[in-house]
Amino acid sequence: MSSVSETAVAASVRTDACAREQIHIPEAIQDRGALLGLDARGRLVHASANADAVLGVKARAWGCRIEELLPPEAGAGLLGHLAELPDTDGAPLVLGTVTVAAGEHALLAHRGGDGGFVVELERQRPEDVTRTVGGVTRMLREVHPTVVASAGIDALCGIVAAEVQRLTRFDRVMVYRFDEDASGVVLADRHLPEMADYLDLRFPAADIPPQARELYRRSTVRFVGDVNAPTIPLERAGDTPLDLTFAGLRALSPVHLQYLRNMGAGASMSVSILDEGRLWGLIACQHRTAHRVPPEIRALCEFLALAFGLRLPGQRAADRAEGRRRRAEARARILQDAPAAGGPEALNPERLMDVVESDGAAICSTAGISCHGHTPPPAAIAEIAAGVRELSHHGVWSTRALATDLPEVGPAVTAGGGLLAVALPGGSGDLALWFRREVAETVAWAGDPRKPVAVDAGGRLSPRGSFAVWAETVRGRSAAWSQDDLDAAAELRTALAAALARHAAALLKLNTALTRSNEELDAFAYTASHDLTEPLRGIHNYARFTLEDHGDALGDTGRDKLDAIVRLTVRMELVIDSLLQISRLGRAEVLVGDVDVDALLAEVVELQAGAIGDHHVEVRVDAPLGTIRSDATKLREILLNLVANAVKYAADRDVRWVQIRTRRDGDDAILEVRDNGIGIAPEHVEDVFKLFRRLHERDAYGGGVGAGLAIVQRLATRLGGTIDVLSVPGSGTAFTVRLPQGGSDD
Amino acid sequence: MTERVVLAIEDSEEDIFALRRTMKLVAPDVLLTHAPDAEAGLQRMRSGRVDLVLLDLNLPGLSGRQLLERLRLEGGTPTPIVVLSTSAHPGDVSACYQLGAKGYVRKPVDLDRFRELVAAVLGYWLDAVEPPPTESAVP
Repeated sequence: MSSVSETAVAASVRTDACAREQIHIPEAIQDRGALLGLDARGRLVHASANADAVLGVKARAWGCRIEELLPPEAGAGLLGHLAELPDTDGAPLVLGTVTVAAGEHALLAHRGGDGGFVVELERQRPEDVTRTVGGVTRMLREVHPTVVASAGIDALCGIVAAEVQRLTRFDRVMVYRFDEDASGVVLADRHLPEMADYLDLRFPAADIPPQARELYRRSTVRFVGDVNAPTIPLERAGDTPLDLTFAGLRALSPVHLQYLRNMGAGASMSVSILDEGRLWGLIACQHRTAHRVPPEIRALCEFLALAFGLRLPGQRAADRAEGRRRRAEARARILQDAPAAGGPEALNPERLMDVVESDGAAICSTAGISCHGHTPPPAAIAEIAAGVRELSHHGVWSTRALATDLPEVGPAVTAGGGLLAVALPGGSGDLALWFRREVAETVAWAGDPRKPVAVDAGGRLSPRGSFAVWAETVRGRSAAWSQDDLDAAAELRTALAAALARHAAALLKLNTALTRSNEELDAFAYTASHDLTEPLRGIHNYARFTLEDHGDALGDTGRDKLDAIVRLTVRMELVIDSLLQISRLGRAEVLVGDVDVDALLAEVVELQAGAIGDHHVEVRVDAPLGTIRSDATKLREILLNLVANAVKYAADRDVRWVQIRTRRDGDDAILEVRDNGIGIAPEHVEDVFKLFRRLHERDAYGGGVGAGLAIVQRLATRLGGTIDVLSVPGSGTAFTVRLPQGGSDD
Repeated sequence: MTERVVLAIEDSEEDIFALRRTMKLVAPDVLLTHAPDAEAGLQRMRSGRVDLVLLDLNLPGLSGRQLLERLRLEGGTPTPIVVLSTSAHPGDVSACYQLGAKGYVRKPVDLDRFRELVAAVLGYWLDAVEPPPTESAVP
């Protein structure tokens, strides 16, 4: 507890101290040269305190012209050069070499505020020029093409670090990226073998305060050749201090210098890497002792950082496109499964893991839970799903720490780790869940981030003194879900919704088509029966009329033949009617209700009264038949056909009966119609339900076309039931209709 | 007693021939008049006495159902109309009754059965039934 508050206090102290410091107007320069500030007309208004000594002239004659201060060969063309300086912000241009009292110097200039100019003289050695020339050639011919062609950010960082080290000869060159929380991580580190490796090390955000990051964004190169050298104060004619934002000689803030000394650096350079105007990271260089980097070499490093920055948007787009492509492929595979079964239960959790990188995935639907990989047990998933549904009814929900964000779910359930959940379309609360295991995540801080400041012996604040690796272990949390992860989950949801909608539309279309084709089939059956019957009736009538009008003239043979035509046409009509009836059975609607079987039998007996009387058949009902849950019309048809069949095939004996019984057998109702008729030969039992299959001579047993039992069997099937026959030739037949009662109502 | 008139709206030569023969046999005192299509049938209904219409559904041009529909749109007719059709599609049967037909008879192939049916229909509609009073007769 106490360490937390100390951290907070320390952080605020540090922030305040840095916020007060105006780092772009330090009113001092580094000691490796001299600086002159000119007004818009080229007259002297600022000068570093060492200007007299460096130039060997009386410099601080405020208002004197710049040509008067420099040797004639340098001074003469200078005003022209100044006028040609670019208007935009930027690092100083190297205008040439000038030899003054303190020796050979590079002459640099850039535009200052208020239309004025800043002229810098930086000490140089003869070999600097040669290094520079070689560097430019190499940069254009080899390095730049490599940077442009490199594949991936990591490769790019390696190339840039190596090349900057080669150019600058620093002991250490790092490529350092800022994260969203402004802390930074080292992506590449080139250093001497004996030095510690900083790769993957993380630097706290406070190491580079906000106004420094803003300065770094505007002015891309900073170089300090000797952190221990004294700074040279700036003097001025007027009241306004000189803005040194872009000056190469700008003195670093004392806090920054102390930070570098604490890090063990004698010299330092950093070059900003900008990504579409945003500070993406730094090329950070350090030397254990004082070190020299000529201005033109620094410009080459700046060029390299620029080339690096220009690669970033394209690389980022390519990375994301590749990720999107992979995820889209995975999504397509998932969608192949989904619509077939029409619901989330068809989704495969293993395939979910291709869409979002995770350790485990689960589908939690009304049909149950299916999971793959490293997930909590199903019971725990159900609890988590219930918790998530309360938190978010729609869309996507995620956490890196289940234990913290879903505390109401039992602790055994959420030992830790992360969850990404997306509500599946359909509104039934189904979820797709991705799990990431808790990582005992180790952040390697460069020094203890909770102690960014220290108070030195003199009572002054100074940056933390130790950069020894300080490992912080983070518990209960998973790796973070990226925006791409969340987007992928949301896209999956959208795609599933679209697929389900398409599926529903297809089903609707199919249903409509089925209904239409049923209606067409029905109409066809009637039309066919109508068109067959009409000519049949014509044939029948003309045969009859011929018999009536010319019967006497025809003789017996002629009359017999016409009689045959008449008989056949009547039979043909029966066949057509049976076909029509059967063709309609499969499509007829089934209306289930409680059917009074006694009443039904009474109707049937009345309808068959003629035949029953003619054949002297007794209808026996020993016990009330009760009710059967079925379709009344179809059951009547079944009973009618069975009774008619029994009457038709009554045996030649004194007492002829047909007996009707009902009973229950489990969930089924049984309707039994038995008779003591002629029976069916065993070899024909299988044939009785076949359409138009007659077992007897055409005109025996009252004729008929052999459709009755076929119709009965189709009706029983339509009602979800079965029909069986048991027969002993010569003693009788029993038909058993079994109709399910408990199940579905269709 | 004035002569009763039956109008058969029927396009089939064979069927009208069979009907004519049948009526000579079962109702020799009833006059059969014939219209081969619905338009002619409507005209005949408007132009003179008709006591019963025997209507086929399957007619060229305006169908039997459409004829019933038109009659109903025109306010109905006091003349009973009985449909005589080869088919008995449930949709047709119920539509005809809804459109005001007084009966629906399926033409059987068996001539004896046909004669029984025609005798029954004519006996019922021409002899047994008291027709509704004509409008002018309503007090």
